[in-house]
Amino acid sequence: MELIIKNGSVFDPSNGIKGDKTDISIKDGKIVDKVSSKATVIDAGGRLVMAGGVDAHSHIAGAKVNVGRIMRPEDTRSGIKPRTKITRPYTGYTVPVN
Amino acid sequence: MTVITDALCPFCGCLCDDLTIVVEDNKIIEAKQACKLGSAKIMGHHKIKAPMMRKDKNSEFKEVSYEEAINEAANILSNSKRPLLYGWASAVCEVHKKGILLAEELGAIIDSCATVCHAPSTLAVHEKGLPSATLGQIKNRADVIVFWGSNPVHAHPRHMGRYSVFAKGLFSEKGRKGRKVIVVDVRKTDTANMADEFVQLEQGSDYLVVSALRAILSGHADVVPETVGGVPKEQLNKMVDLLKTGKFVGIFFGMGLTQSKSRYKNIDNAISLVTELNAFTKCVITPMRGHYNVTGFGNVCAWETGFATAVDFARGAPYYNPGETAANDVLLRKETDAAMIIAGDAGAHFPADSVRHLARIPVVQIDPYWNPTTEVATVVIPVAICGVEVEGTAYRMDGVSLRMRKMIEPTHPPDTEILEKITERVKVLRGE
Repeated sequence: MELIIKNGSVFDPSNGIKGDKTDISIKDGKIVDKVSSKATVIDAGGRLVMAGGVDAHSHIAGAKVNVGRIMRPEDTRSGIKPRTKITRPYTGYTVPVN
Repeated sequence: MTVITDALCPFCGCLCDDLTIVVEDNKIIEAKQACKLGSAKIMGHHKIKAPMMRKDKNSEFKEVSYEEAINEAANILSNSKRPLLYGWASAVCEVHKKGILLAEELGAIIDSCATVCHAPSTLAVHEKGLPSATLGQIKNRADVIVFWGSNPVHAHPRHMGRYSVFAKGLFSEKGRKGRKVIVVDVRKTDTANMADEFVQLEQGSDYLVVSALRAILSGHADVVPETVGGVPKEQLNKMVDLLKTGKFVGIFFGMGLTQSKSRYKNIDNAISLVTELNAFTKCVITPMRGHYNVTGFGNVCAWETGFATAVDFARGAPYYNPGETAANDVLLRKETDAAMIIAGDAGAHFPADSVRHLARIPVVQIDPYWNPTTEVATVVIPVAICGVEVEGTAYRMDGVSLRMRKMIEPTHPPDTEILEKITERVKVLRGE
């Protein structure tokens, strides 16, 4: 399946694209250089185009999270994974560490 | 001559951030605004000149290179079956993080100076939480201040001037004149001499007195005897009135509460009192933390391991059980067979039996200063002074993080560099 997202202002920080008007071609779920003229066109004119935000609002760090950890030692009794040669130890459920 | 303004003091948990440091030829010649304790540390004293080692505890130290000392430290720790990494409270958070990585590598126990001061407070927080506030809130709002089992005149000399008794704030513009000060202690301290109300209780009766205050507060004064823990009921009634009628009450507690009979249950009970007072007024409670960054170690250890103190990595994952895994637990049981003491002074502050065991086993000391721990050390590695010669992050007693500034160029490597090298050497010795 082919798609082309046209006329959107694209934001792609890892490639230094900051709101440039450019088209994005997609084939079989992957971004590609070009698609054929049969591709479905999505007109994103007047809109921003960017990667989807996953868990965009997360309290992953900060003093209040530490207070949460300090107040709930029992939370760290679950999810225990010992250290391996390539990973650090992991513990916790609602406020995990590492 | 260089003048550094708004510098931070690396001594006590007040973390005063208004110092003016005068530097000439890479020497600090003046630390303006600092108290005597902070000034003594900033100006320097008894610094260790070079790394040292000795074959046994009865022989004299010999100066060695950093490489030799680091290799020997790594040998001691990697050969240990039950290593203990203790101290940390007088170092910045960047050092704590390196220390936890080393503890993971060794499968060691890592513990901080809190074990002999506010670790019982942490246990109480597990049970009841901590209705607290920043020192700024207390400065700006509190009209009743309580010091329970703490003596800031001597231990936190600028606390009363900057944050509590004398400080003038947004809604406390009268300073001392607009505040009532209550001191609860077993003896009439210099802080008690400045109080409006001094409540002198018998040693070990804090839990009873807190319980009596709670009973009176909840309308059950009839069950309180005429004297509780040496305190007349009349004075307990007066204290409850002062607490209830305050607009904002700030309670500070020290080791008189955490380390006396009933220990963490005292704090548990005091937090319940604070919770109940909030039905009448606004009331907060804050531990008077000693070392300037002991709070920081608790935070780093919590975000890295899930626990604030007494963490055991022997199982490959963090395990926490104070009473079993705290520094003094493993020392008193003679369980640990090697120790690294860093940015803390176990030799001065631990029970005699713990220090006796430290004297029997190999001990690596990492510290800028010569102190009683040096006397039981096998390898001594001097480092730059965090907060004076090295910048980094520290947490004030109220949990506010502040950036420590570098005042002069260091004459020794930083703790982080030494810990990285020991960790790398341990990995080599273990064939990783």
